[in-house]
Amino acid sequence: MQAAAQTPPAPRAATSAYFVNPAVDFALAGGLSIIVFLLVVVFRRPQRTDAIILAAAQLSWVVNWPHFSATNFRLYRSWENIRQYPLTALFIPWVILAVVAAALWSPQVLAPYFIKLFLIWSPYHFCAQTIGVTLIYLRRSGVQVRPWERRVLVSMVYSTLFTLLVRSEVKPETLEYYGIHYMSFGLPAWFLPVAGVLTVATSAGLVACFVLWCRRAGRLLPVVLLVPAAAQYLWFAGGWLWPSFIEFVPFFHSLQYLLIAWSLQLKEQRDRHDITPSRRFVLVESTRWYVLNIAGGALLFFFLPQWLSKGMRLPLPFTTGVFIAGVQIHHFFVDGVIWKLKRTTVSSPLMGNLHELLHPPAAPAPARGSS
Amino acid sequence: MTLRAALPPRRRRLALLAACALLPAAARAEPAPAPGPPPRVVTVVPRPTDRLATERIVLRTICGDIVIALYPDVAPQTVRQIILLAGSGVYDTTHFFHVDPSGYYLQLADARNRILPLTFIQQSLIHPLRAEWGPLRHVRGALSLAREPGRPDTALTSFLILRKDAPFLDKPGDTYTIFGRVEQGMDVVEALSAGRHSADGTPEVRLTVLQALVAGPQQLPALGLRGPQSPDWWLYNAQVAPVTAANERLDWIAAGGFLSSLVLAVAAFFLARRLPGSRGACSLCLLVVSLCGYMLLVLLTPASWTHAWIGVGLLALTLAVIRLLAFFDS
Repeated sequence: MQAAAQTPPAPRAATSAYFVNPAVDFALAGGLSIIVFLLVVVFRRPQRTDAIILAAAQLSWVVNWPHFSATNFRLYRSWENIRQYPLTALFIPWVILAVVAAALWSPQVLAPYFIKLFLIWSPYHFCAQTIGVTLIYLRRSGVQVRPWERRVLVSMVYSTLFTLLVRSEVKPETLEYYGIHYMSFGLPAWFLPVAGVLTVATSAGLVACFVLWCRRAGRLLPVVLLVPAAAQYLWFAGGWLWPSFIEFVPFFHSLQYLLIAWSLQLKEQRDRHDITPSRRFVLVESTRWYVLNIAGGALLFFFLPQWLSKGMRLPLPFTTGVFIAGVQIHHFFVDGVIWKLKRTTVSSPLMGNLHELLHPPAAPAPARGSS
Repeated sequence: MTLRAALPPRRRRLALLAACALLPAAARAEPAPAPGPPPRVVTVVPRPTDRLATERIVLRTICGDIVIALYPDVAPQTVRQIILLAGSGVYDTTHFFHVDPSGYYLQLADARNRILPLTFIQQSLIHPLRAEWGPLRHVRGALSLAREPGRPDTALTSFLILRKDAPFLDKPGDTYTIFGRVEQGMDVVEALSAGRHSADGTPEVRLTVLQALVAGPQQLPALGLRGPQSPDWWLYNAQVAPVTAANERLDWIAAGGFLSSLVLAVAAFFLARRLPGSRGACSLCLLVVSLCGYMLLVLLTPASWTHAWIGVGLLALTLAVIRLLAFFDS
């Protein structure tokens, strides 16, 4: 999910600041990761143990992988969508497939840099989603964001990215992903303190913006407005000394994505087929969407790499590493195109609320007779 | 006449680039950490002769020079590859990382662990070698390709120099490719092994190979071979810098081409954006931008270890290209 490059048009009024309710939105928008981080710190469990790795791997089946599949579902579910983004839908998969094939063909030269590209793009994508989700909540809360305030938000989020990248790229060393060795950039060491200062300064700036928004609104705005950015700070900057927590960052990011994608799916489905809101509709449609995404995720991240490895007689870890990097780059690419908030087809359905999907709108009160 | 000797540095690099293009099948294989199909072993029929190749490999180490003779009839594929690797500078700044505590051998590290990062061309030359088992035995002075245990076709660039006979390495059906022998410089091998090392055989001083040369018999005297000596740090420092420059030259030329293409594609993208109905053209420009950016990553990342500004530039470039891709198909 990515923020649009331009300032979005005047927002359509949302019925509520939340997609579901304050507690669920808080948790899925990043609050759960903040709670988990606090628990990890309080109970002093920084180690990335086998149990932690196993738990994160199991959650991948039901959250991380479906979140990638949800992108494909959104793009390919109808010809209407495919026609809207023809190059992205029909051309880009072949380009990425060609690059994946080249990487598989050249494990020593092309594969390491394909992995490196993926590992830079991935945190960038996290940041773009954080900005997008924050802007959605701001719009839902009726906050008009001025360009400079938006710049503060963007700077804060990208400064965490800078911190993360500098930390992994500052030493000249060979890093590893699925057994594929790639080189770091060996950035100058003084980048680290600079990144730290930038992150702290821009975070303070964002808090100041929040105070400003509250003063302008004349009320205390929902704290969920700051939650995605606060979570982002922990994911990339604050939590790095706690590997047990870092292991779950992709899971938290995926939860955030699924909340928005699920909400959009229900709203669009209801509008497209003019379905009467009901508990049954929400349950059936949510289940159908989620099951399809679990199946799609398993296909992309488990079955296809296995078949590819057997078919091409290549080592499974290597094939899996390259193939899932390709799947994820496709996800980043598509997300950058289909989630532009400046498009009303995207932003308008995101102003809905679960309540509207569960209950039909109340009938207008009958006019009182005057005779 | 060898490649290194016959051509000036720039043309030698171009020739290697062409050679690289002719080796697609060879570059495809990968040492496999996971179980795969059973390894294909080519057993060379023993020949009555162990004729030596005319070329010699000279390893200029910090403790002196070692001259290696090769067996082209026994291990033809390995010999061709070793000459190619040495001629293209792959072995420059590698090191002997293991001195067998029992005194049987000295082992050269994988070239990917050398001081200077391998260039794009050098990386593309490295590929797994099929085992070539011949009549030769692991005797003092023999050169034997290192590989993963139980997987004969996984040798890359690392090899052993035998310091004494090691018949236990001549396992029928699971031996190692012997491709050459030390012709001069066994005393240098001993000097390298004589330094202090840990109990597991890791030397305390880095036993660097400053340069590996391919030379014909007539060229050897002109090289002024050095006998055994204590580590020569002056030579070490003097050798590394020129080697860096030579190895990077071709990558710089190619990188310049990709960078120019990238700049042109970005300019074309911004021009096309002003025109109505140019969605496809804009997207095509962005594709060219991203492919050029990827190739720059491939070509220049190794140089970023020696020039920090390249790393900074590459990171900024990668993020900028990713940012631009948000305009794709819109």
